Amino acid sequence: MKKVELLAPAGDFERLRFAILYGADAVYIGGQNYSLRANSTNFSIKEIEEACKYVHDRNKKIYVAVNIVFHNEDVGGLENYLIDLYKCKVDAIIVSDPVVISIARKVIPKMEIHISTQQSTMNYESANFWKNEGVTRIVLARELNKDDIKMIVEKSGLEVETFIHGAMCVSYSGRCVLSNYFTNRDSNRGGCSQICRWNFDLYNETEKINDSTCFSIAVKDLNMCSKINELIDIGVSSLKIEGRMRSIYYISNVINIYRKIIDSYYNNINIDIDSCNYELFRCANRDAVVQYFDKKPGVEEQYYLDRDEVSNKDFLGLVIDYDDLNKEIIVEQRNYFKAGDFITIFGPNTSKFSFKVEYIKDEDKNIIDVARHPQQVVRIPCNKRVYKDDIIRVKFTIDI
Amino acid sequence: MTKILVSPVNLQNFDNLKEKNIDGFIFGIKDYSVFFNCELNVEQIKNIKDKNIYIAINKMIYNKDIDNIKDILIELDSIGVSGVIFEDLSILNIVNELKLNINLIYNQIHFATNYYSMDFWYNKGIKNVFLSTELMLNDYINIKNNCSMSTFVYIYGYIPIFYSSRQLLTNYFKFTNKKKENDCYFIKNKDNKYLIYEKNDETIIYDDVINGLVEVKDLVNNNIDFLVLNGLNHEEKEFSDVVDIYIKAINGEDISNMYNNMKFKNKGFLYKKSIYKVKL
Repeated sequence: MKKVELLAPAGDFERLRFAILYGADAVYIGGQNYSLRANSTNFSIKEIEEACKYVHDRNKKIYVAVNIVFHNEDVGGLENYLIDLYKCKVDAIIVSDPVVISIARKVIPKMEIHISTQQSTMNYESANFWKNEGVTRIVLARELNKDDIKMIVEKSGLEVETFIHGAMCVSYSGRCVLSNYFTNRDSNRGGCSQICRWNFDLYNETEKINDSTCFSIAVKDLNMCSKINELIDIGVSSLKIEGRMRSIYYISNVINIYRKIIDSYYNNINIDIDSCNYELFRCANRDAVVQYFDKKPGVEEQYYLDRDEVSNKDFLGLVIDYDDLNKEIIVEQRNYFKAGDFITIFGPNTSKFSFKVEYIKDEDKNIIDVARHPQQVVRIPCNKRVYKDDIIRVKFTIDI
Repeated sequence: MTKILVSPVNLQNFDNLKEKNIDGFIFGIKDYSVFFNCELNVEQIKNIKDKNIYIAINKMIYNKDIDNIKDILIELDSIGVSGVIFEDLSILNIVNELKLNINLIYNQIHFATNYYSMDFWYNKGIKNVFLSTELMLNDYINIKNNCSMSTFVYIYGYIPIFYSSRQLLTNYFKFTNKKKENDCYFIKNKDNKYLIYEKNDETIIYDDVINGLVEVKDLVNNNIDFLVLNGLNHEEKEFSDVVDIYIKAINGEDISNMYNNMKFKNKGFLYKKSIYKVKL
């Protein structure tokens, strides 16, 4: 039985590094053209080459999204870009527009092709269409329930990838151009301005009918941490986390938690899903639910009123080294913390543990009461050895 | 020569329109169509004589729908409809698997935006494409000049801009403990009102009616094959009048005064380029 893949987003090299470090089996990225996060940092060809080497050196995989819906003027340069990706040794490209398939077949026939969720593949007949085109994997539409996914796995024989965590399109993917019409930004070419999160007044033919509760189509995020076992059981090949523009803190946390859930499945170990859910909630600060897997989502899966999305201050710092002699952690600060606070540390090789900060020293080893400056380097005492790139966060009151 | 296709408001409207110089009609099919007002079942389609009939099976298709879709396609093949307008690629796969002789019109909404992709679909045996409404006038002409497919341009009607599997109106009314009076409301952004419509447990949002009457001449001169008018959310008389004006435009009559008196003047993206990179 092939182990399911945990697939992480990476908006830049730093995020990619943390995704791999915290347990992703593969990452997906975008180049500086042709991907649906046109306004994120993304990767130059040189960076893609470096990323491929980094990932392959660790026996992981890397996929590149080439998933815009092209207009005529966008196609120029695509052929050379695809050749470059092949030379970089990218493992697969993720596409929604068949122009990419046509050109890829011509210039890089050995490149694996994954069909993007933008195509909204909803059924086994559509999956089989793509299979006949030589596609090896389908990223399924998010609207499918367990039986739908299972049937597509069984009747197509393709690798099936499903989203397990992160933001959702409210529409069928690729079938929303609200952004084009409201802000002139082309959603299917990476310019989506998330109109689905706006509030609106609602009218009948003649008058406004909403009171203070504005009309909203916004939906909660996806969280499938309680369904991972079932997804593996029905034969899904790859479990995908959404969010190429998310922070390293978010990526590290989410990947770390799903890594543990997946490994627990294969090792027949029970895991506390409530605890996972809480940690996942804390790192996004948006409600997240199962959405379509068990039933068609309704009012409980939507967001109304003002949402609680305050800036998250949980991420306190990043371990940059450990001073064995003085038994001190050297930390790059990310959010305010002070002596006396309780903090939690976890990392790729560090099991989560918590303790009270007895003192803080600055770089010159002077005692200070507070670490208040972003990226300030400070020292805190800790008898337990920790490692570079471990994450330091607030200790949650219900930390388990 | 450019032809005119009309999707009527209802069957009564169809009866009135079929006496006019219209080349064909588009109908939805019960349970499997979106964006078109007038939906028929297979028996009703069988009973329509003497006109070119195009059937839109353009809803998103789930596994549970596949057997019904197969039955419908077999029936439509035997009836000999002029074409099937499709969104979901299952339709293409089924038509190929069953070796049906159905003229397919590719209509993956918002995806028909370049002529390179049209070559891909043409090579799969699809001879017609419904071009996306987010294109500029020049794009329509450019695609027509560079692809082998017959081109359908949506020239008049509410523009679908959002299609969700969720019941977004029902959910909102449940949340606010209010009664949903009907399936059709409007949301407002700045001065624009957008029709929001719940149907078959799904929700669609439309931009205001596009009216490309003035552009008919350019499209005809550049050999666009079909111009499509949609009577969705129109009164019969209002829509019949619009159709009359478009017939005149296609026949080369001067329509400038008529255009000035029309209710809708939205040009969509005909002259507006959408952007996707904020920073260059």
